[in-house]
Amino acid sequence: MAAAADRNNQRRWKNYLLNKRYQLRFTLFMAGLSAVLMGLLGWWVHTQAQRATRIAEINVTGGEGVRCDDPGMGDYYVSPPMPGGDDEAGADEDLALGGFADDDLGVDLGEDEAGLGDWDDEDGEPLDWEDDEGAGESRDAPAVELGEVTEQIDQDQRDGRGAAGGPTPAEAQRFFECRMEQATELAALMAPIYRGERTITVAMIAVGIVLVIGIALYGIVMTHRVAGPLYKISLYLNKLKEGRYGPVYNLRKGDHLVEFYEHFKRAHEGLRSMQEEDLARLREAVEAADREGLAERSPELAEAIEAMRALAKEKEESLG
Amino acid sequence: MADAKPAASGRARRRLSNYLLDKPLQLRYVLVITALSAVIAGGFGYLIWLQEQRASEAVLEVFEAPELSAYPKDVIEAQLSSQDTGLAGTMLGAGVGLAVVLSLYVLLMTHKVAGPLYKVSRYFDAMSRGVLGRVTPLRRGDMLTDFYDTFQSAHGEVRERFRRDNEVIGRFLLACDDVGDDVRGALEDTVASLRAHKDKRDRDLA
Repeated sequence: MAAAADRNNQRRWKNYLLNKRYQLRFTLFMAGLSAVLMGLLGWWVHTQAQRATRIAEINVTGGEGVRCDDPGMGDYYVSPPMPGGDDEAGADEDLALGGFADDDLGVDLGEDEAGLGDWDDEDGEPLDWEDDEGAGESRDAPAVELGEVTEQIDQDQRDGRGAAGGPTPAEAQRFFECRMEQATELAALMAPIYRGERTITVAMIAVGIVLVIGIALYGIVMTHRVAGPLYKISLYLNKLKEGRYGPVYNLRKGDHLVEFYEHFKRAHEGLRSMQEEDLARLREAVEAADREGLAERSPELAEAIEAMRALAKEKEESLG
Repeated sequence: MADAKPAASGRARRRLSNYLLDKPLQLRYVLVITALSAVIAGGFGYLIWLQEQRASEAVLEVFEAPELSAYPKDVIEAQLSSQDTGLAGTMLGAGVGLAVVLSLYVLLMTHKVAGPLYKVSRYFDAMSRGVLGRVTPLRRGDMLTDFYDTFQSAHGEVRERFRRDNEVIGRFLLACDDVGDDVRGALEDTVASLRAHKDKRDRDLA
């Protein structure tokens, strides 16, 4: 057999799917598996991150250092602006806290054990960002400017409609400033938590997408390095099927299944040897028959010699 | 490729000990997939742990306030620390479990590729010795069926061709036998050698 010469074809993108069935099956399996795993992992990560954020949120809003004495704002709702806005605070809605409770969140804060259950304001109610009457409404309540509130208080007092012991404009101003301070403190405490939660979510989505695409590409490239040699061997097998025993070339650099390919090369060499051995025997017999003039002895012998001659020629051609 | 006895009865059964048929091929996939999943799971685990720690720190910061000095901060700190450690343990367990399950699954998948390759390589070895016996089908669930079909078809065709070639030689030997002793005498060595060659080939093709 001729020595396996180097005839390395270059890899091309359009040729990467040589064995679609095997390659796509393997790649889709890997990409699908990673997508499912990422989905499950992501869901778990998100749940954990949310849980951690909520725990911090509840504890922080229940125990902030700044305390604001309500001067009896009653119906005069003051909406403190959120310092830093959405980007800084992380979530404006979450800052307008409307009575988060264990039951709402499904989280056991262990308040009794930790002694956290007594974080009440003077009225014995859990601290909220809203007035007592306005509890739970802040999310939907329209933002009211301080100026509008103090104007309203002034007007009511002038009209004699103000409640006895109601807030003065100065008290409303102080209450508003205190709530501002509370919001600033809360934003400072919660900002890293919100950022962390957002980072996890963004990282999860980004890594998920990169992972699925990466694994799909890696799968195609890796399986191509398996499918490539198989494709090459299939071509040689088809040649063998047609009775062509020409030379076998080496694999490309980076191809897998090198050992398997060596097995094939030895098999090919074995078949070639069989052909060569047959050819030698046939030639020897035909030459001897011609030398002895055997074809003239009987028509069957003449026919057999011609058949052997044709076969020898065929074998010679098949060896390339 | 591992050394195992050829499938005498055609279809061989899968055995746990034979699952690593092509170590370089299979272990390469297993290692890459496992390392990838370990890195990803580890990265996310770290992010979760960081978030949990930040939350714990935020809670503890609240207790720095003078009016809350009466609360048992050390007890709360210990509880939060225990929760953080528990979470890290759970994540580690989940990560290791994920890596093990993935490794086993990839091993199983690659075995279904390595199995047919192993089988074909054994036929190739036989062909290199000039033996062209019968080819048996793959096991159920094996991959590379298209490639195996191509191999089986080529093997069958080559085998059939050598058998036909041997028939041509056989007809010549028969004709020589028919013409008499003088012919046999003149070509005695050649005929004997050709007959021995044909007989060997017949055995190899059986």
